[in-house]
Amino acid sequence: MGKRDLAEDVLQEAFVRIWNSAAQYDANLSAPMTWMISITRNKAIDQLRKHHEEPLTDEQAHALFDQAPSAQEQLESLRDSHALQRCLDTLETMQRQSIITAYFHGASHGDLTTQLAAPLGTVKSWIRRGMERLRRCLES
Amino acid sequence: MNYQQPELRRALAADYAIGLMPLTARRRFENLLLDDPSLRRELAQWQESLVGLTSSLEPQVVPERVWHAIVARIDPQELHIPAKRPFWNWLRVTALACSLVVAGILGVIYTRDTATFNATLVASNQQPALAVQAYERYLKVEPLALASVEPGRSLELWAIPADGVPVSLGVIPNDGKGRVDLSERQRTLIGTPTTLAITLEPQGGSPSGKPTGPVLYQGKLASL
Repeated sequence: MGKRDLAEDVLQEAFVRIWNSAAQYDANLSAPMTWMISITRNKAIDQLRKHHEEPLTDEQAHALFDQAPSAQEQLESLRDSHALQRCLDTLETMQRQSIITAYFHGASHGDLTTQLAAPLGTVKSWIRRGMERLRRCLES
Repeated sequence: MNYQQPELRRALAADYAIGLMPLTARRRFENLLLDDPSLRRELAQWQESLVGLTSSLEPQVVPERVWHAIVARIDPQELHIPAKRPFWNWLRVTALACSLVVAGILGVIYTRDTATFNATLVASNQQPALAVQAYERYLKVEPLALASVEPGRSLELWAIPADGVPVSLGVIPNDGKGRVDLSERQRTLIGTPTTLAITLEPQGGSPSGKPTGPVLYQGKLASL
């Protein structure tokens, strides 16, 4: 989130949401943690997008761009320990980077075209092919 | 858009799972999810695939005030509209069951604990009468040479901490063999310098919460 107080707001919203919609959780679909993480991420994305609607200052835009490698680094720290990481390694660099940047920074397609300096069609195809390959690798 | 096309459905679910969709598209997709179980399955698969990414994140400590704020928002709803909200919906039951399982496992681990303290209780003639071993959550009492107890009387075990005020640990069987479960408060006494004593009390133990009969056996609790 970039700012601690924003992260705390998101956490609070997420927990209240989790509590109130507990009845909608379906154990046949996903693990409780996955479900809770999905809710929390959606709250975080809402919060990020809210701030995106206000135009970014140059500094903020720069900070946003700067964060991309750190997500990559975080990932590398756990490399080899999971099937997911192993499968991510099989992706082409830009496929992997676009998925990870979107996942960790709540970037939309539009944000990605700026951050990765590529046309929308290219970004969409990186994501789509990357996700398909990831899925096949995880299922194998 | 034709939402029945499998490739499109899969791609949309992937976009949603990554978090790529703008707000309006997200709301539209969430509406589709409501009436479409197979789309929910598709999405759940993506979410399960990606959730491993979060394992690389460092856990952060959440400040107390955030928890308080969360509880404050959750609690009043229970107080104001208790009838409308099924409290025992199954997620909470599951959460409770999980805690019980964890508690159970912890219990098993704790009871496997070896004894940490022991005491030999002696009679007034200094003859060892009982051995007491203190485990994490209970005391094990073994008779060594115990005088028989007259009918209508019970043996009650006391902890006498440094301040001298006896705290009842409970009644032990008259044959001296048994196990005394310790409450939270009783457990805290075990780690401190404590003398154990057994008094003769009316059946079922002292009615006043203080020893009323003679001290039959006593001994200091020592660390093993």
